[in-house]
Amino acid sequence: MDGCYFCIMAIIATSVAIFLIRLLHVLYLTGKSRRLKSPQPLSTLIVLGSGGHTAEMMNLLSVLQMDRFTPRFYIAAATDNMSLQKARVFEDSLLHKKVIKGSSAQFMQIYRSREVGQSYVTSVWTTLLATTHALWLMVKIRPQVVLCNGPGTCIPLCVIAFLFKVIGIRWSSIFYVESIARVKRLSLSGLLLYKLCIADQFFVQWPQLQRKYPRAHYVGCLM
Amino acid sequence: MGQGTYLPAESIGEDGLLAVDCFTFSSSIADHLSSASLVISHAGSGSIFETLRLGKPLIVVVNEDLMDNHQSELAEELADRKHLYCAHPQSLHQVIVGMDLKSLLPYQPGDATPVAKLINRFLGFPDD
Repeated sequence: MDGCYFCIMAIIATSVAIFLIRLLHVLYLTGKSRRLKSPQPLSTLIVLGSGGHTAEMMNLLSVLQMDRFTPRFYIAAATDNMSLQKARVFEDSLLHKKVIKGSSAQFMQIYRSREVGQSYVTSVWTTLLATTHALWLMVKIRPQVVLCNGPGTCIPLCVIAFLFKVIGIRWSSIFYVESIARVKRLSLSGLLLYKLCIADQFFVQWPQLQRKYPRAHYVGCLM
Repeated sequence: MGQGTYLPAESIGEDGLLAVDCFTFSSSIADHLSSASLVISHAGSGSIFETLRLGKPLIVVVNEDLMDNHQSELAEELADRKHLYCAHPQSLHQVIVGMDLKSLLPYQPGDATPVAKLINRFLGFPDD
């Protein structure tokens, strides 16, 4: 019995050690460009949020070359009706302008971690639910690029993308653009992704934020 | 209207009275904005930039009830840079009385291409 117990503990300890080493390795590589020259198109997850978030994301997408970021997966919160519609309009306009040849976009909804005004206490539970749903979606998508700009929905998705890197399921590059509405303080999503070093590149639109968060890239106003 | 309880009285504006129209949603809001000589708006970034891009004078009214009130940061910063006037519901009247729309500076639209460049470079895509 003792021998059995010892074996199990040894396996657990070894697994934890391997996981921690791998975690440190991924953290070390976060923010370091790894791509080979002339790379292939990358499957891209685009996280949409209500209000200005989606407008800002569409603004960013309009200057990216869509043949490099394909297939595209758009995710919005289940209670957000407008964002996926705006994304569909955007994708249709790409087809219409012949920027892309065929439709390679998918549109999905995810349970929200936290509604606006929801108490932080109940948010813990809803975040766990949202994380399970996010895991399910991420296993299906396994994106190589994640683009997000602030809504709470991006946290479970980015954390899972990071875990996928650690476990070796899929390597991805995570880009976070803090909303233009954040001038002096980061949003909660931004703060989490910045402090946990999860985003490979973290962009801010106002110089005040760059001074407070030196690892962020100041890119000026996008809108 | 919307989440509130106040419903303005509509009026076609006869006899020198103020014409008032109201709607909760308009698919042609861009047309209304284009034909306006002054816009008074909440502090949502979409509303702010849509109006500034059209070059319309703008007074932003900040909703103090929003949790952590992040909307006010943007309105105050743009007001500091003299692109718009910023008010609270209680100070709106004062702001309107004291405003000088000609003193507002035009807002130069932003550019997302620096971000695109950095993203492309990070992923190893060639510069355009």
